[in-house]
Amino acid sequence: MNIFLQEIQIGHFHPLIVHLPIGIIILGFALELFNRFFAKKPSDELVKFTLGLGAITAVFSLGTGWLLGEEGGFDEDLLFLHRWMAVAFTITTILLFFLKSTTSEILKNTYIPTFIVAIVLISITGHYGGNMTHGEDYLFRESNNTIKLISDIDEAQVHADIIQPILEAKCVSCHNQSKIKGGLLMTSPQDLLKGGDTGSLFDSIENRPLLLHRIHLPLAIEEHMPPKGKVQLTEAEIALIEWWLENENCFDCKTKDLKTSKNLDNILASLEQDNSPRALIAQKVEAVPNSWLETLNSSKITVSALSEGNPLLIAQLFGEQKQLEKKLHALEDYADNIVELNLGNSQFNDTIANKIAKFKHLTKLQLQNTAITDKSIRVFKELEFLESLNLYGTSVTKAVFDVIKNKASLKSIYLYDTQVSIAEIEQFQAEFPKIRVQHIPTDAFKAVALSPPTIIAASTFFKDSLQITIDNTFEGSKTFYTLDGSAPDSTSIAYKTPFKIHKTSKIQAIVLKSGWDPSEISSENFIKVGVDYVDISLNKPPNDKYRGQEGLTLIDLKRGTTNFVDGNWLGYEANHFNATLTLSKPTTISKVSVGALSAPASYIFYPIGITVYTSENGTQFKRVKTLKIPKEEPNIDVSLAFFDLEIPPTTAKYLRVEIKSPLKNPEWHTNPGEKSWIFVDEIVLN
Amino acid sequence: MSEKKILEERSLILNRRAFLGKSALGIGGVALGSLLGVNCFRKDDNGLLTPDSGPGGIKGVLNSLHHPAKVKRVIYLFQSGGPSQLELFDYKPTLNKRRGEDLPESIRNGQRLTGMTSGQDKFPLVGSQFGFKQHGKNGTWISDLLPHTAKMVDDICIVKSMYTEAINHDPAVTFFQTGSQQPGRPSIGSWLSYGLGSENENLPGFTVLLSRGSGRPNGQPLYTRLWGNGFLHSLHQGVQFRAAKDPVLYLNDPEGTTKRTKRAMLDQLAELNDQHFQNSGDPEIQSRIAQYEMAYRMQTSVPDVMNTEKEPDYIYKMYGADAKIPGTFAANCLLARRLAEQNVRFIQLYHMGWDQHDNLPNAIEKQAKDVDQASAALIADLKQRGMLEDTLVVWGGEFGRTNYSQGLLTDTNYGRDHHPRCFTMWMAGGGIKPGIVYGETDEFGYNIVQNPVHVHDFQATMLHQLGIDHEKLVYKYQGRRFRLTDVEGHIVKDILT
Repeated sequence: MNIFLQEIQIGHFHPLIVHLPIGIIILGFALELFNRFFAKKPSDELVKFTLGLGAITAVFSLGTGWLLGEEGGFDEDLLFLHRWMAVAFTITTILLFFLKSTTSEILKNTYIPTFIVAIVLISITGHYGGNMTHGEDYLFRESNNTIKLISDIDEAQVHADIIQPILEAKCVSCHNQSKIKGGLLMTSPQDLLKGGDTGSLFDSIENRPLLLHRIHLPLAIEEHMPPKGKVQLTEAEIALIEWWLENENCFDCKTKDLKTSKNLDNILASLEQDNSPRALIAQKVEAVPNSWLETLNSSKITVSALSEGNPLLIAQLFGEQKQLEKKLHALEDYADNIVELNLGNSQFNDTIANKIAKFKHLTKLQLQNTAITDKSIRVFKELEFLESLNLYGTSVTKAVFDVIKNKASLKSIYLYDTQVSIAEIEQFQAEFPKIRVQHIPTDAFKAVALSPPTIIAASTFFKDSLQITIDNTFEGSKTFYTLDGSAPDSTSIAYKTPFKIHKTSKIQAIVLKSGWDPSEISSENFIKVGVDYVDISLNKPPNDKYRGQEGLTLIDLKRGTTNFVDGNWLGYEANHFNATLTLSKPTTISKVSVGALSAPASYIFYPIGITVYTSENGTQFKRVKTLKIPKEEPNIDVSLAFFDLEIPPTTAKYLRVEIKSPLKNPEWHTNPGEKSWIFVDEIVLN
Repeated sequence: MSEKKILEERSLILNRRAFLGKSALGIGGVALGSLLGVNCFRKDDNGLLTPDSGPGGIKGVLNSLHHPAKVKRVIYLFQSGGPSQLELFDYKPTLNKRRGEDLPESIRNGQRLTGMTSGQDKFPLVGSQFGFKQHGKNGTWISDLLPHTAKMVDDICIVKSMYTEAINHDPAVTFFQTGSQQPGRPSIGSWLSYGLGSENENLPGFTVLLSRGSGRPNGQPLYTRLWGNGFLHSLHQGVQFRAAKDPVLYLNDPEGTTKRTKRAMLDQLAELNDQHFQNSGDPEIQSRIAQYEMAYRMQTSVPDVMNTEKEPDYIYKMYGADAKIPGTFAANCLLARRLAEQNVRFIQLYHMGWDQHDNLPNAIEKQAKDVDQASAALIADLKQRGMLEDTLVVWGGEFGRTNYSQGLLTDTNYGRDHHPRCFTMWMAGGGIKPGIVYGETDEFGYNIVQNPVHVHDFQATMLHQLGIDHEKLVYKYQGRRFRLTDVEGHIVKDILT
C-alpha cells in the first residue's frame, strides 16, 4: 500500500478535483435562485444535497492542493494567497451546508450573504490557481502568438533576439516567477547562469552543458526537457541552442561574431523577416475587391489571389493576340497586385509585348512557346522584381543575356529549345553565376540503348510451319534477325514483314538506329514436332488448383510461364505420375522431351527421374529409357527446363512417360521435409 | 403506415438531408442554384454546355488557398509492391559484412511479420548485391541500379525515414492514397479535385496511368478504388488513361455517329436528366450531366495529349527507348509531362512489380531499369521547361523490404519480405529542398533513428505545398468531418525551402 501511495502522487489529483466544487457550488446557487423565483415545487432537499456534495469535494480539493503546494516550484506569494483563500472557501461551504439545514431564523438570514461570499471566494481562488498554472499574464496575453521576426539577422543579439524567444516559448511557462519548477528561472541571463536545483545550465554533464543534456535525454525519461506532453523543441531550435552554448556565457555577442555552418545559416535565414519581393509588394498594394475578380473570371480571365487574404494575384491568359490584348488591358486596373503572369502557349507576340511593362511587380513571367523575339526583350528591364523568366520554346537569342545580366532580382531563366546554344549558356553561367540558366547537363542522357524487339509467334512448337512477327515500335529504326543462332547485326536479314519458318530454329533479333546504342538481342526457340497424337491419359489427376486441361495440357504445344497459375501447367503435390499417349499410327520416335518448372520458394522442384515405355498394343509396355535427374543444388531461382531423352529409334503406337517427383523439400530448403511439387507443361515427341 | 411507405419516407428525408448538406459545398452549390431557377450551366464559346463555375474548369470547394502554394500540380510516381530501399537508396555496408547472421531480436523488437515469413525460424541478414556510389554535391549514396537518378540527385530530396502502419499491399497502398487502411475514403487526387477543382475544363483534374514492371510481371494487382472518390462526389474520381487504342474507355463514338447527332443526343439527355433533377434534387444527377459533357470535350483533348508522335527524337533519348512503347513506365512519364503541361492537377502513375519476395536481385535489376531513366528524365524535362518550379514529383512505394532474406539465402540469390518500419521515397520540385537526404535508419536498415516521417506527415506536406492546410480540407460524412490525414499529420518543414 505504501509503495502504491508513493507511486501515485495524490497531490497531482488537484487539477482534476479542483473543478468539482466550483461547478457544484455555482449549481447550488443557481438551484437556490430557481427555488425561490421559478420553481412550482421548491425542493430544499436538492439544494442541501448539492451543498453537501460541494463541501465534500471542496475538502478533497483543499487536501490534494495542499500536498501539491508542498512539492514546491510555485510562486510563494501566489501560493499563499491561493491556499488560504481556498481554506476560507472550504470553511464557507461547510458553513453554508449547515446554514441551509438550520431552523434558527437569525442564522437563516445570513444564508444568502454567505452564499455570495462563497461565490466571490471561489472566483478569486480559481483565478489565482489559474495564474499559477498558466502564468500571470495568461488571461490578458495577446492570443495571436506572432513570432518575432528579425529584420537583419547578422546584427541580431544571439541570446536576446534568438535564444531567449525560444526559451520564452517552450520553457518559461514552467520556469517563471510564479511557477519555479526545479528551482529554475529562465527569464533572464542571470537566472540562466544561476540555474536551478541541479546546478547551472552551463555545468557540464557527460560532456554537455546541463541544458543540452536535458534536451537530448530520451523523451521517455522523466528528466527530459521540455517534459513529455509539453510542446517539444524543434530540430532547428535545438540546433540554435547548441550553437549558442558552444560559445559559453555569450550573452552579448551578435550572429555575425559566431561561426555558423551551412545548416545553421538556413535556420538563421528562416528567422529573418520575409524580405522577399513578394512580401514587400504585399505590404505596398491594396487589396483587390472580390467583385472585380468575379467580373474578370466570368469573362474567362483566370486570375486568383495567391491565398486567403493575400492581396497578390496570379493571372493566366490564353488565346489569340486580340483577346490577349483585351485581357491584359482588363488586368491593368490592379496591375500592381499581379506578381505572376502566365502567357505560355498563347499567341502572345512582339506587338503586345510592351503591355507587360505595366505589370511592374511581376516576380514570375511565363512566355514559353510564344512568338516573342529579341525585338521586345527589352521590356524585361522594366520589371525590377522579376525572379523567374520562362522563355523556353521561343526564338530569342543570346541577346537576352545583355538585357538580364545586371538584373539583381533575377534568379532563374529558362532558355531550353531557343536560339541560345548550350555553349553560350555555359559561358554566361560562368560569368554570372547568380542567375541560374536552368538547363540539363549535356552528358546526362547520352548513349541510350534502343529497346529490344519482341519476337511473336502463336506458340513455341509447330507442326509444319510457323509465322513469326518481330515487333518494334520505334520509328526510324531497323530490325535485323538471324535464324541460325548467330548474333545478329546490320549485315543480318532485315526484318520487313512477318515470315514463316519450317524447321526448328533459334531466332535472334536486334534493333539498330544511328545515334542510338543497339538494343539488346531478343532470342526465341521454336521447335518443330513431327508426331500426331490421338489421345492422352493420366494415371492420376493433377492437383485441383493446377489441373489446366488435364492431359491435353501436356500436348497442346503451349509452354507454361514462370507464373505457374497460368493454366498451362499440371501440378502434382508429393506424387509421381505417368501419362500415356496414343499416336494416330505407329511412328518411329527418337526423342522424348518433358518441360518442367522449378521454383523452390514455392516448393516446386524439377522431377528426379523420367522413364519412357513404349507399346504397340496399348497393354504391354516395354521400358525404353530412364533419365535420372540430379537433385537440385540450393537455389531459389524460378526456372523452366526441357529434359530430353534420346532413345534408340523405336516404332510404337503407344507411349508412356513416367515422371518421378522428389516428393519432399530437400534438406537445404527453409522448410525441409515438407511436401514438394512437380509441375509439367509439355511432352514433345520427335 | 406500411413498412414500404416508411422506408420511402425515410429515404426521401435522407436524400433531402444529404442534398441540403452537400448543397452548402462545392457542386451542391451549383445544384441549389439550379433549384432556385438560376441557370447553373452555360454554353461556352464552342456552344458546349459547361458547369458555370469560372473559366478554368470546375471550381473546387475552397474559394482560395489557405496559404500561397509552392506547386500547382503533383506527379506521383507510385512504385507499387514495395521497392527495396536497401538495394536502391539506403546504403548499409553492415548488412554485407554480417551477411547470413541472424537478425538480432533487439533490432526486430517484436515487429509484426507477414504470413510469408512468420514461419521462418531464421532471419539471415543480407546486404545489397549491387554497389553504391556517392553522387552529387552532397555525396549522396545511390545504388548502381539507378545511374540516371544518380545524375539528378542534386535536384531531388531523398527521405530515408518513411514509415507506415500496414504490412500488406492493399491496406498499405490504400493508406497512402486515402489516409486509411480501410477502403472507402477518397484518394489524394479526389481530395484535390474536390478542394481546388480542375484547371483545365477539357481534361479531368485527376488522371491515372498504369504500367506493369518487368521485375515481377504477374505482381500485385491494383484496384480502381485506389483512385476512387470515396464519399466525395463521383465527379472527383480519377480517370484512368489506358495504353490502348481507346485511352479512356467508352470515349469514342460508335461508328456512324456524327458530332451533330452526338451533340443533339447529349442535349436531349441533359434536358431529361435536368428534369429528373428538378424532381428528386439528387446532386449526383448534376454530376452525371457534367461527366457527359466532360467526356464530350475529352474526345478531342485526350487524343491530343496522348499523341506523342511530334515529340522529337532527343526527348525519347531522355526518357529512353521504352517511351515509344505504349503502356510502359517511360511512356507514362512522358504522358505525365504532357498532362502537366495541360494543367492537370494530380497525375497518378502506378508502376507495378516491386513485390520481390524471392529472386530479388534479378527482378530488381530489371525493375530498376524500367523506372530509372524515365523518372530522372521527367525531372530533367520539367526542369528545362521551367515546370519543376511549380510541380511536385514524388517517387515511392507503399512500404519497404526487410533486411533479412525471405526464404533461402544463397550465394547469388535472396528475397525480401514487406517491411513497414522504414523505407525510402524521394520528392522533387517546387518548395522542396533539392539535393538533400532527410532521415536516417540504423546500421541494420531496420529501424529509424532520426526524423521519422509518417504517411500522414507526407500527405500533410504534399497538401501544404499545394497551398492547402490539411486540417482545413474536410468533408462531413456520416456525422463526422473527414480529412485526408485523418486526425494526424505534421508538415515536414525541414525538407521545405
